[in-house]
Amino acid sequence: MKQLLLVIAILTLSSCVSVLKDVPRDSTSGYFPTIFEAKTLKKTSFDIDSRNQSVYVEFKSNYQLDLYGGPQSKSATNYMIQQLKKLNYFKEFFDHDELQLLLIKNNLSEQIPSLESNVSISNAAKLYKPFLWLKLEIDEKLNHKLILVDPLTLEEYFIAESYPNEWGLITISDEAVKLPLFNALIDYIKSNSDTFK
Amino acid sequence: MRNYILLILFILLTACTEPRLAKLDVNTKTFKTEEQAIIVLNKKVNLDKFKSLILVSEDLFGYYDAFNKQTVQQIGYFENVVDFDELQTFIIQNDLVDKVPEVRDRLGLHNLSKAYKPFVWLRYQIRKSEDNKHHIQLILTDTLTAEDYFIAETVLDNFWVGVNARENWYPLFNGLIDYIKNNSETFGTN
Repeated sequence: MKQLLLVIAILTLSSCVSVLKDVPRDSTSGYFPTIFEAKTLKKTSFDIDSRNQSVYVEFKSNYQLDLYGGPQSKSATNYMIQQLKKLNYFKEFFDHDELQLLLIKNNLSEQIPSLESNVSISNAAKLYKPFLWLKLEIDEKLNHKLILVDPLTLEEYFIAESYPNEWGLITISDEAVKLPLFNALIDYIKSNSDTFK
Repeated sequence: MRNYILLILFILLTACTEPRLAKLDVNTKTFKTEEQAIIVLNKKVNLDKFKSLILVSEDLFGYYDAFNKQTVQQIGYFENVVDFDELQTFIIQNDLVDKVPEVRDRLGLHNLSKAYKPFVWLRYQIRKSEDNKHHIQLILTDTLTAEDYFIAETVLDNFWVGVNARENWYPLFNGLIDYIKNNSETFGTN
């Protein structure tokens, strides 16, 4: 029943609720505009300034309904990249498709014959360049998680989680579940970087 | 409760979905529809060097009925039309396993096109536009360079006209037929 309400809510409100629409940071606070907050589950300190050159962006959804255009949606990774660019911190971004093209161009396709496992992404970071790996994962309960991984060690440095709103209507709007995650990431970068503004 | 809703949804959906039949009109040599796809990319290439093999991936609609593969077979241009499973059989039967240990994404396909010969990949992608509409794209990609040669798209409209072969798939494949015509010297001659 909750699922049906969700679907109806999404259909009727999709015109007035913004989903996957990138917004700028608030110029005074430096955060993305939202009244919601994410829960930071893990924040391991590391010298993030030494690794802010490139970011591999990944989106994965395990939710039964397709809300963002497929389990590995291009719309979703595009949105993430647009939002991350507004931090003015990371220099370049690539998604699943783009990383494969870069590996092919750099003659690494024999050493890395597929990009479907964590080990192969780790190999890509070793052989191509030491990028950071940022994942947005949606589980079957529609909880959203933003995870920053060092692919060289596969250690997770930062995990934040946001939860859909109980009364459904603004459940998966950017304000409710995605912007809070990016704000948590801003806090994490702030506490680990000397250069971030 | 949830199953009940699913069932209703299913009935509603099946009522407005026509079966997808891969049936080329013998006279016009196209698929019968009034609709036309929007051609997003139309790159001039010598397609004939790719004609021995084409990989056709499933579309993104959660079920697989061989429609996409049969449609390409009916066009009658490519010699071997395979899906991902058959491609693995193809690799084993052509003794290419040493050079191509895995074909799961572009990297493996690139390795195969180097070890075997150039071939193309026909795939689907969903594009969400600014006005919140979803479009289904049919894309022809060179597996060696991973470069896209041809992209056509149609709007997925669940509310008014429905998502079906006549509105979505036939126009895409007619666009592909035109593309083959314009980029091949052998198509239609035999």
